[in-house]
Amino acid sequence: MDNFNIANIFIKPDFENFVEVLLIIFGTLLLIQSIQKLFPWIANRLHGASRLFILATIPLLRLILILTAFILITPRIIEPSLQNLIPLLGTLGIALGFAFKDFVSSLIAGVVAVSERPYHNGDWITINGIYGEVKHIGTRAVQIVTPDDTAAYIPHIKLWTEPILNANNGTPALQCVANFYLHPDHDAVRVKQLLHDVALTSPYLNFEQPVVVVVQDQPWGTHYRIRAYPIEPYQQFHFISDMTVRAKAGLKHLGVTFNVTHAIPNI
Amino acid sequence: MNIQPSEKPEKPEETELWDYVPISNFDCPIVLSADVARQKWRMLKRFFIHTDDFSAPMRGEEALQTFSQKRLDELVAAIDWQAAVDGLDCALDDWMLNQLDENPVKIIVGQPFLGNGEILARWGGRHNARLIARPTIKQIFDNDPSWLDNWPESKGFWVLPELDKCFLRHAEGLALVRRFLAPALNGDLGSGLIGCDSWSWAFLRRACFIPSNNALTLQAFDGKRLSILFTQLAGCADHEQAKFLNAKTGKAVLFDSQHAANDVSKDLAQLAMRCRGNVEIARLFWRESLRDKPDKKTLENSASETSIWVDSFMEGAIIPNTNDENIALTLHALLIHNGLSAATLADVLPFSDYHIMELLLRLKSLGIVKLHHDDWKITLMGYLASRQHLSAHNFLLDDF
Repeated sequence: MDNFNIANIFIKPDFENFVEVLLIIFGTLLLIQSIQKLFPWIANRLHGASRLFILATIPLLRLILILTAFILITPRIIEPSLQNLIPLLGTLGIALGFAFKDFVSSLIAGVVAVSERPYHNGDWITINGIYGEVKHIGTRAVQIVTPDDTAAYIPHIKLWTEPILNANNGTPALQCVANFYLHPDHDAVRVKQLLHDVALTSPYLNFEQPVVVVVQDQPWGTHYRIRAYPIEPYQQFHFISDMTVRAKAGLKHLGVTFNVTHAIPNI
Repeated sequence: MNIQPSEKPEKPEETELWDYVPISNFDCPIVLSADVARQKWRMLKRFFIHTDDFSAPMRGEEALQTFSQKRLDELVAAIDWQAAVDGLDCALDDWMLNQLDENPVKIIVGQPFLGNGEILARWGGRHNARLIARPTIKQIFDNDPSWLDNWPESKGFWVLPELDKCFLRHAEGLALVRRFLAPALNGDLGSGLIGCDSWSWAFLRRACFIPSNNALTLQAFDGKRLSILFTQLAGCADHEQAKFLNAKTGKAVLFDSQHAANDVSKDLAQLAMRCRGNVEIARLFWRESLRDKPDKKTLENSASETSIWVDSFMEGAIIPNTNDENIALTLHALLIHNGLSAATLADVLPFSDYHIMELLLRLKSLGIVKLHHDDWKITLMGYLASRQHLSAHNFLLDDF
């Protein structure tokens, strides 16, 4: 081991091996690209759980393909003995650890993200205050698209330090909340019933989930919240808008006054 | 097969055509795996072939029509709902005699197009029950208690045939139906019968928490029932002995009335499955599949018998594979309310009236909806596609 030369562990290069390695890399990249294009295309033509399932399989399949390619390439480059692998991985580890610490950490977190699944494709998550739908789980980063149609790329490394808030966690059930701030002088029973009916009669409502109206008195008035679930997570903004518009019309009809507070206190 | 008059033939088990059963006993004809595979294949083809083109016409019905409308009316006469009224009478006999105090109200949930309102109205006429008219849209929105004045003061028998027209899917559209249901189910309005469309029932059951233990529905028409009914319908006006033969295989599809109760062709079993046991849709598909004999020579050879050829059953209208969720919302609103006017649709849908009208016209051009008096309704031809579309988009469906 004293006279260890890293060049000794590599197999003598020959043209046939070189072509095979190239073909494996090319084939793997082609398959990954195909999966990344085809699966979302199919998923976007489906709805509910089947859509989420297809989206969730993409990162897993990609990881399997990368590992398979690695297993196929390794014996074509080095003699895969323990004696050879330990010094090679050690050297690589030190080099990468210093040069690309965060990059490698993100890659490892990417593997953890695929196995632990804190987010899946199609989930609505909040990381670092950014809320959006997971569109792509890459090797290094997760791509989410915000409701304003802005793509945000967040490295998986955030898994180690930041809380990940997942609104639907791999299921089609995503709770929406519509808030109403009312003057405290009103018939709370009627208002509660009206808001319950507003949710029940929304065409976006998922009947398999409960509808709850929460009432809370605050120093400035009464805070009402409708908690209900849309049929599909992507309908959340339509759903909240629909409930808000129709509840406002209903509340006005009941003669309830909305609470108005000064934007700047004591004015 | 030569049965002597003295010999007693084995009596086949009688099939009640118009059999009203509790909803939990509804038996949707089972879909065979081959049929499922065929359906999946069709869906897969549609999945890969881009069909966003709304201008694509529906399969031309008239182009395939080889019988005149008059002849078709003879071969497939309209269903006379009187037999269904008899069936309902039979199902309610025991309740009328013994259970009125215990269960003052029965609910009859009708599958789409099966004339539930008409059947109940006729049944009410037969029993001298007071027929309760549906409230106006204004009465629904105003939660107008004067609508309840229609009920007989003496707590006599009443029939409300259209519960589906007594509410709106609107925050202020449920109060009146709740105001009615609470005393009605409690027996405070006397004994009565409520008719409701299956889609409205699915919604109201969840929105008003109506128990379904007192609800009855018409049993699904399986292949056997269809065979008996089509034989009866063909026999109504057609005095010639018509033979219904599969256009591809030449095998009999309908048997004569003696054997209709026992022998069921595979074609009719498949038709029953495809139509989910809905007899009116099955009747339409059956009617559309009948063809005149192309080979007149053979026709001349068969002296008294007329051969009617049964072509493949049509697919019905097709809804293009589109991401426009407003189509699903519109179809659902129409089904939940059993048809609505364009003006009232604007009250229950979260988009503007001109967008609603544009969607309705697009759906009309595809044969999915039609304007009936003032109300837009799903067509017979478009129903199965609409249900499948809503199912794929995870909307609330009816129980049938």
